[in-house]
Amino acid sequence: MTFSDKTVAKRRWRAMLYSLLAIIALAMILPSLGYVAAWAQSGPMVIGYESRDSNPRADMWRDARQSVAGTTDQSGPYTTNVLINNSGEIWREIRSGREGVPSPLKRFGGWIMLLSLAAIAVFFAVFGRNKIEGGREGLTVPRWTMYERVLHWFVAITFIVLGITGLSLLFGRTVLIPVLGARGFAAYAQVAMTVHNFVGPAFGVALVLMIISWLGVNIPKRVDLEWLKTFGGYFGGGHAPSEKLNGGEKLWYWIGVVGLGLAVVITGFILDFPNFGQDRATMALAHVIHAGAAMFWIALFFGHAYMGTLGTEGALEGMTTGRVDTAWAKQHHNLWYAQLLEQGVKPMPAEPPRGGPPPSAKSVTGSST
Amino acid sequence: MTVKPISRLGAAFAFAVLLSACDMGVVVYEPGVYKGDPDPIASQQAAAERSDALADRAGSAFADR
Amino acid sequence: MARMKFLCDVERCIECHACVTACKNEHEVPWGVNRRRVIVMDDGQPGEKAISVACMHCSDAPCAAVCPVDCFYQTADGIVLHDKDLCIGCGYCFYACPFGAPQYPQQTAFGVRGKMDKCTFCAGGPEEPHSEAELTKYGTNRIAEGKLPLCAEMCATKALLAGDGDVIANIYRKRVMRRGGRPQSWGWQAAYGQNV
Repeated sequence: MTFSDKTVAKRRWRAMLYSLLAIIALAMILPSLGYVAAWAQSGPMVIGYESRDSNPRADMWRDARQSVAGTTDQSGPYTTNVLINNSGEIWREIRSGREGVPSPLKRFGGWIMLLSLAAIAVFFAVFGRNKIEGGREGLTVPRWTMYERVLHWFVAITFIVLGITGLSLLFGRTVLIPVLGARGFAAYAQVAMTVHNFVGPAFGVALVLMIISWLGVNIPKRVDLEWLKTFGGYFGGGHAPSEKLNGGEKLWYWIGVVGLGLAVVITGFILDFPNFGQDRATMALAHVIHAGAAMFWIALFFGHAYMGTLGTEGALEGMTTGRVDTAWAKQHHNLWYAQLLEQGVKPMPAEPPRGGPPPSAKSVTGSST
Repeated sequence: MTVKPISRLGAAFAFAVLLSACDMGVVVYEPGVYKGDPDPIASQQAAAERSDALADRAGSAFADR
Repeated sequence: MARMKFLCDVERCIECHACVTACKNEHEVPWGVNRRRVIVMDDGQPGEKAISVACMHCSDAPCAAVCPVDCFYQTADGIVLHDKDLCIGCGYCFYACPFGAPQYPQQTAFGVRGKMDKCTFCAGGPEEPHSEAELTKYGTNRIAEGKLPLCAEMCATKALLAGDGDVIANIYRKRVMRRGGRPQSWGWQAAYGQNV
């Protein structure tokens, strides 16, 4: 073997090695060109034969289970093209519960109302009636106009009617069917639902009018904060100053009448007028808010009704006759009374009780009636 | 004897209640037709009686011939 | 004891709407109410599927759970029926039903809806079988005659199956074994529970 032979053999060997490497490299690169061409056409590909996350069959059945609408020729005054509507299941569990799972709506709503009544009973038993200190003076000042009183009592009466009929629909199956029987309760519920649906809009309109007309006297001020700090002296500890409406009354206005009231009225309109095409999920949600807010409102209403009648002597006549005793005004709304006198309002003798002798001013003393 | 307005109102309300029975939606029950609560035992009996017939029917109606 | 169920074989349903028409004609269903509907998923796209849907006669029926007057009842073979004399037309069953089965002849202002109407599995209602009252309120009672629901019995492609759950599941399983593919017992999980 010569030197040249040796060199030639080495070169051949090297050429063979490089060719092999080139073949291997090309064998890998050439098919990748296809990938690059495809990528250039339709973007990056996911490894595998088909993209796993978009199996059209599986997607379609998932859509069907998740309330995605299809196409249908059957029409009606409601949605007809949804295969499975899941909002109903959630609503059913909230409103009626499930076997072994009590309904949160009935449970919490019922307890809130019962606890409110119990708290009022305990309060009455402990503190008793808030009497007019030093008795009536026999002089009255105007408190509520005729318009305000009519509005108040219209809202109050319809509130009670709507409350009873509404609670009958929610609790009737557990409470009233055992009493009235299925047939009797169905007849009752038919009337209750019709009354509820027709009185409701009138109540809503009156409530909005009431909110507007009493907005001015309900603007929160620093005095109200002081009133709330001492709970208006209801738990003892002297009297807190107050304008025409005290801190507690303003709280009832803002939380009860404006907050809960508007929530109940707006959701009520959504439920009562299904002809605007709102879907089942919207109406189910509206129903939960409607019933929940209404029961919370009723619980607060018990407090309001107690304070206005049994709880405070001399308060109710402001809303019935429109005039209140000056002693009551000084005791409960001193700032308002001072303002009235400043405006030149003259206290007038109270109207004589029907059939009795007219009481002269200042003659009715200590003995509270 | 004087009639109080409240009793007049009551009488008018009672009359209105009676009048509401004239509504077309009021159901008048046919005598002799059972309209009580569904009877579970009767329901079970009826279901047992028809189950074989319905199973045969399903076999002949839906099986591919 | 038999347990009545509906099963729609979606590989066979050809969207002919015969079940809808048959049901409407058989029971003289009020205008605006569709006891049975045919819904097409992915309409006009490759792999579109038509599904015939009506009341599935659920095991733990949501309509019955939410009814304020408790007008629903279930027969011993699982058919969910309701009493139109008790129904007050409140719309609650319509909110609750996953399948959109309970429907009302109207849906107008002040929540006026009329009496709820839904598929009876051709089993009439709480009136005397074959009485005039049953016919006008709920439609014909084929079950009492030993016949299955008309929509399923007259289905040209035998896509819609009705009857005892075990019997129709058997028929369906044989079909799937012969033709291959995955079974699709559509809606059974929602209607009859998780372990179906």
